[in-house]
Amino acid sequence: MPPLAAPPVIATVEGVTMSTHTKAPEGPASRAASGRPGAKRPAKPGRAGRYARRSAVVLVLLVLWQSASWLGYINAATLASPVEVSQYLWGSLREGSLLVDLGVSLRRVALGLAIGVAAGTVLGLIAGLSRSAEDVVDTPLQMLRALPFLGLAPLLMIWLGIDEALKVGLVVVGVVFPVYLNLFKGIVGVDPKFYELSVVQGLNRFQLIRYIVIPGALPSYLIGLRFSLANAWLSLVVGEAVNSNAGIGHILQQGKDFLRTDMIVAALVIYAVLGVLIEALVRLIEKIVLPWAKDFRQ
Amino acid sequence: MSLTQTAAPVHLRGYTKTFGDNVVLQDVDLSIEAGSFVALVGKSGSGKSTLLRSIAGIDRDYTGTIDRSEKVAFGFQDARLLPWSKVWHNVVLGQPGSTAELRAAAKEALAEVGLEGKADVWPSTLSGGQQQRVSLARALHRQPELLLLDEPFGALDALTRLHAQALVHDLWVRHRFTVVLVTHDVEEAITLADRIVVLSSGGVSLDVPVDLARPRDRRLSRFEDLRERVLLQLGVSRNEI
Ligand SMILES: Nc1ncnc2c1ncn2[C@@H]1O[C@H](COP(=O)(O)OP(=O)(O)OP(=O)(O)O)[C@@H](O)[C@H]1O
Ligand SMILES: [Mg+2]
Repeated sequence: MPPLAAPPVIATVEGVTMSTHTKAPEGPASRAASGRPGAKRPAKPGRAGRYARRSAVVLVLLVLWQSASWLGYINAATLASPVEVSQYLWGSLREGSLLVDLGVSLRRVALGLAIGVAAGTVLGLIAGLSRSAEDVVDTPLQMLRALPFLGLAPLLMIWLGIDEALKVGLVVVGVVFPVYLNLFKGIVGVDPKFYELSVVQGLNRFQLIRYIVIPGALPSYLIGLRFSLANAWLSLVVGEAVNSNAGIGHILQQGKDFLRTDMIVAALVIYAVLGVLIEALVRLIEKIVLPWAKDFRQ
Repeated sequence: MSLTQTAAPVHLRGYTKTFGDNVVLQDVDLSIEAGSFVALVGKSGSGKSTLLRSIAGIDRDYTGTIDRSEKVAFGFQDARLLPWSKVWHNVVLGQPGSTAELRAAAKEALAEVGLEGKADVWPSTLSGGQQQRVSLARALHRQPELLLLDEPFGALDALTRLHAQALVHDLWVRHRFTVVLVTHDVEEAITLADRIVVLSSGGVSLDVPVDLARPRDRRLSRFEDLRERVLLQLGVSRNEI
């Protein structure tokens, strides 16, 4: 019984990191995407000083920005001041519309993620665990991965229309690839020494998958998950730039239509904050499912 | 852990192993008595690991026949513990039973190697010597009739190695399984084994019993003589010894 897709296959999938920073169409959406923070590691204890310094920089920039607006160097029609943005955010929060829009956007991301992660996981498992399935599944997916997924937007508009399905669909295509590719890479990349171990321990195929393949592939899978979350966000921004009647994108669109830069900046801030929160969520997941890896890092 | 284990013999007939054009071992006949402790020595590349892996069933791509017990355990040079499984889980990897039973059994095996307190830690938090002992516990837990060890002490420092050798010896005395130990350390071979098999140029070039009382005294002249004989066979010149 040839155990599993053996390691030499790795060569064909080397360097599987998704192109997360695919160029988005022009417009406020693309600025939101490239300005997305969140890649920063949270400061470690003992680096409190650096953390304070970083916060101070942000604070100084905000104060400068605000002062420039007050002193008339920045016109509100060009760029709203931090205070105006906060006022808008506070207002829409009290009025309730902010939470509604937030809910709509989060639902799109969640739905797209659920479908995309499930599909990517199933495909990755099938291709990683069976050589014949690999030939069938992997080749087309490797071809498609060369495509910047946001480039699929026009095609998706034709297939799915411009409503909810498009917005969720874009998230799905952004999520499937990194999940699939990294899971597959993780599975075929499991150290062959452990396959030898499975032979001498007399593991059956199910045990091999359960105790060696899945845990061995998990770190790579989580990297895929992280990329997929970043992509999901890009997808949301782009998808919501099309015909939005609700969601964060709707705030953006209204801001653009009424030349309200406070609304535009507010929407960007929300995208950014959600991005950071999701990043934190992934870290939490990693901590929970990779406790052994945490020990390594200490 | 039950001490009523039995030992099993190993028989190789016409064993031949090639990698492409490279004939590593040719037409090897070797019988290993049940309960004996055999050291397999040879120069690097002489095929020691290859032979042991074939006996273990890791590598089935050979010609000839190998008869051995199903109850076999293998110790790798690296301890080869799964980093994502707690120590106790590594020890019982693949064994049937409820979690509680397995944990208890793992602790019992760990106690034999002096690591009962480490059942619930991650392997990465153990020293190299401790990891190697966990790997021994994993082998023990399988209650093997045949224990195959491929340079299990190779990566250990001199002091830890002495302790590990003594441990393997004690376990063998207690459990009486058959042991095949691959090593490049002739003194280690003479200290531990009943019989030394030297592999070179594609076959067994020397097969000698070690008729020395245990525990072996490395200062005895008969120890020295045997050491010299094996080293010469390994191509070490007299003035290098
Ligand atoms: N997977 C492989 N493919 C090709 N040749 C191999 C392979 N494994 C081993 N060999 C060759 O078989 C021969 C014996 O290798 P083996 O690992 O059994 O040596 P060894 O006696 O264990 O050496 P060492 O003491 O260095 O561990 C070597 O010439 C090696 O190059
Ligand atoms: Mg070897």
